[in-house]
Amino acid sequence: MNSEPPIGDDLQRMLVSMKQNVLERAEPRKRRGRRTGIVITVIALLAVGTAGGGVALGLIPTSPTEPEPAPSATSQPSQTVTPSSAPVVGEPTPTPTPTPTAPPYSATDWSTWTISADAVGPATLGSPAGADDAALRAAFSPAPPLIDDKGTVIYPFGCPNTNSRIWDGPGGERVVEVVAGGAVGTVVIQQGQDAAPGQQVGPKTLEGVGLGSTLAEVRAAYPDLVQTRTDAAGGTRDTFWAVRSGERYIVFQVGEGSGRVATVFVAGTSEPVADYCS
Amino acid sequence: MTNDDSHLVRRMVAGDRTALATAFDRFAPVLTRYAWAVSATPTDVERVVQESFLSLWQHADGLYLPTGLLLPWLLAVCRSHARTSGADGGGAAPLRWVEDDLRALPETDRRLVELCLVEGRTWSEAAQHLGLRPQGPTPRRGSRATKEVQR
Repeated sequence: MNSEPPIGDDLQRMLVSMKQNVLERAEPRKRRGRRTGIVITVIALLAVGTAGGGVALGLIPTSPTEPEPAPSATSQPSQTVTPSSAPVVGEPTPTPTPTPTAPPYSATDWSTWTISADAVGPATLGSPAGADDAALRAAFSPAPPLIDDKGTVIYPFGCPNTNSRIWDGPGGERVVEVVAGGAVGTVVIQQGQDAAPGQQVGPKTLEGVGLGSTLAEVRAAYPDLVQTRTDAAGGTRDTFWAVRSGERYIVFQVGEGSGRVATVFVAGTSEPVADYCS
Repeated sequence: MTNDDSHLVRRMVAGDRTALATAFDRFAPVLTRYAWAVSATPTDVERVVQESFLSLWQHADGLYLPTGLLLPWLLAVCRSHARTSGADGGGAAPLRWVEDDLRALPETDRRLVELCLVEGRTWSEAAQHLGLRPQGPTPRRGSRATKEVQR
């Protein structure tokens, strides 16, 4: 086409529509290798029945002609947990597979964002530092930098921890990407200060919990939820509750006074640093 | 992002559709811009981009990624789908809307894309031309994934 490709909301609408279509049409993967192996095994067992099953049964699994099982049938990447000095009350167990897919979202409306092990809306774990800026800018502004009296930027996002890329929304809501090794390692979302408890309209997990949810609601959504840190010395008396999802954790910080989720972390550890600014 | 792309592919092989969603979020804007240059209508663009990601999902266990990066493969398969639909897959300046994206790629990947999308080489021809050997999953002889980018 000779026209220019869509940008902004037009592009976003197109992407949302396409993503929905792709995810709907992506059928569960067939496990042809294992199925073939089962068929061969059944045929072999039938043949063995006439020739003396006891001997042949021991030979079938080592047959060199039997196809290898599909990698998807058995292999899973090993879990890596970042060690921490904070005490661990319990180790979260993985959520059952298959993992449901995140629905499309609009970058300009964070109530459409999904909290998953991969991303919170456009804030994507593993993406290069700055790669999500354009999408985040649709609804958020970078936190104001700290500037000295000569106009020199001391901290680009106003925090001493320059690995924290902080984005503020109009209602005080906040998205933080904490960069490690050049890529986003942790995503943090926080509720707006003006929002009434229980009336938060923000990202939710596929199980329907997020900012403003009560601890009871989070527990109901995740029976495997585990309290992961109790370090009052960490500067907060809030409690932290983690659920493992794939190789990462979704961690809910529940306010001591409100009993509701005030912050959500998605990270490679069940004990994310609560103070991402210092 | 080689490791990250490889990790995504492994998760897709394992049947994790959130990995497909992540790949879509990461690469769909680039593919859309490319498809816009080589398709006749916005409807064609949508179809070509969607088919490209469905190809990725369907053939994740047989991908031949000689450099480990997904984007060149996705662009090549996008071109194949565009050609199949009768769009102008090799028209004037097919890369005009993705030049910035290509500049961010390593030189080898950029050449791979140019050989396939501009010079019309097949994926295997392009890799062979650059003297690349497969990394990760070995291309299965006659696999649908290999054939798809060779059309």
